[in-house]
Amino acid sequence: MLLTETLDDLTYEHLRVLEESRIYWRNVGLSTAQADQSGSLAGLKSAYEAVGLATPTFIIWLKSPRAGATAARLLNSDLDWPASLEASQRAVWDDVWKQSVRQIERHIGPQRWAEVRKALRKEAEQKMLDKNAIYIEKEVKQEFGERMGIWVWKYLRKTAGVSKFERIRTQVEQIAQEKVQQQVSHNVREEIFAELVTPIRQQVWATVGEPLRQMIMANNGVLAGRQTWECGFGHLDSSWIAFYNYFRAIGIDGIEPLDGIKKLTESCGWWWPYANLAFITERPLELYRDNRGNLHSEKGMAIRYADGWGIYAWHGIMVPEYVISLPEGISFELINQEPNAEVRRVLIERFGLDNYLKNGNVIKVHADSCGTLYRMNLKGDEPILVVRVVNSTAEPDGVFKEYFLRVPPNMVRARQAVAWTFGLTEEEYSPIAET
Amino acid sequence: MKFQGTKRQTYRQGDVLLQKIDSLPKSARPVEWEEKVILAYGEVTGHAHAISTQYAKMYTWKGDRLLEIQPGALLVHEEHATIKLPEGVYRVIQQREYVPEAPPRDVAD
Repeated sequence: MLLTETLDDLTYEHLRVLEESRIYWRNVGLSTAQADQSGSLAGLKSAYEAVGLATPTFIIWLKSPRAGATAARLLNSDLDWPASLEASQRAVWDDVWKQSVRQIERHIGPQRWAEVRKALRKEAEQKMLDKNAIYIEKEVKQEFGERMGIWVWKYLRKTAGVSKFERIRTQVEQIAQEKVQQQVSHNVREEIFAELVTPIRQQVWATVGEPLRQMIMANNGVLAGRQTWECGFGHLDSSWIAFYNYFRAIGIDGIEPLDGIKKLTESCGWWWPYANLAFITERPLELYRDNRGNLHSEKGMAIRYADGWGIYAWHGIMVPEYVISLPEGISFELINQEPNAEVRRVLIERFGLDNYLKNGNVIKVHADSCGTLYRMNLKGDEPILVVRVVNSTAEPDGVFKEYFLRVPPNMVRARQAVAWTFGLTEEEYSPIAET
Repeated sequence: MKFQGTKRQTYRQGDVLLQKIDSLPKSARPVEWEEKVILAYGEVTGHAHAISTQYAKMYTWKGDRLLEIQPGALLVHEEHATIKLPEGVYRVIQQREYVPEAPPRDVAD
């Protein structure tokens, strides 16, 4: 239906749909299900159709957003000999051309394809004969594979055409935005944004998507350079797709052109659309978060893809692999050598704060009936302040257990520090009973 | 601050502190518990700070948990001595630890 009046009040039914949408799109965003290939292709077709484009001829599936980003960079580079690539980049190079062979054959026809093969084979044989003076089949085969890869990449670069991301994604969203603005009041839009988009974006994009983007850039290696993100983020697009889909669900007109992207969001990971080619990637195999929703795993990668790429993280902080895999290798000296303050904090937590303090130069700041306040100065980071407190009730063996609590660096008295741990001032903190 | 004042009585059992407040706010919403009202679970041990529902009712109000306590209420925990709580309304405060550049993280024993 086309609303003749502006929607400026949400009904009970609207709020119910809002609640459902929040749960649904949050789950879409955090999905670790294998990509729905036919759903993705249907989504891609419909996204291209919505802007009057034909479905791209070549569809290449890759296993991670990192692989997708690598393929996109290779497509836009003029690198024609893969020798300089790092192993994981080389794997993407090979994956792309091997998947393309059949598709190219179908596209140019068996006859033309046979000619290409024959020519490449002849080149390989000649090169190897020049080099070895005798014919070694194994080496010729290898050389042929190498040349085939280079030929396919050249062909893809020539054929792929320009990125259609701007047209498919940005322009279509602008149109949908105008439609929503025409039919929905400012207040309602703001409310839906705050109640739907913001929480999903926090849980999905901020805690998963952004770290992935950072890590992809950090891992670019020899392909480093200005990074453009002319790609849809698939399942990680769920917050903004939720916004438009919500209005579509409650009867606002004109959102249909976004249906293709919606389908892609529900079906796969990141995707790169070009005129005649698209890279589509898998969702992660595993995704672990702590109770605050931050990427976190004590056992392995917090997010892991099928090609083995992923992120190690400790409560949302990206860390080198050894911090998670080999915590027993962490030593006092190693912690102090770590240049990154955030990583150092994780190392201290993994090592044990009390262990760390035992090894370091710790200053006693203040002591009273509540406990003892200690301080340890760090190079290039705020000092560590801890208050040592003793349990008021004895353990079964008669010993009173003591423990350390970390407190803000501006604490100067033990009572003030203990009071802080309960959100109180030291004047407010004087328990009548304490057990 | 919602509950200012230095003269408020406080009771502490391990990592849970109860702060007496004047009265139950009208808009406080009840939280249902069976048998025992649980104030906090230990992260590792599963031990709990608890009061029998016969003497205690829990409410939430503006992000705080409040307790309405009848005479005879006992706050119990497997590893701490029991505390006898006088009648009244209390705010439940969970102990936290400082985490640099991040909101404080709750601690649980």
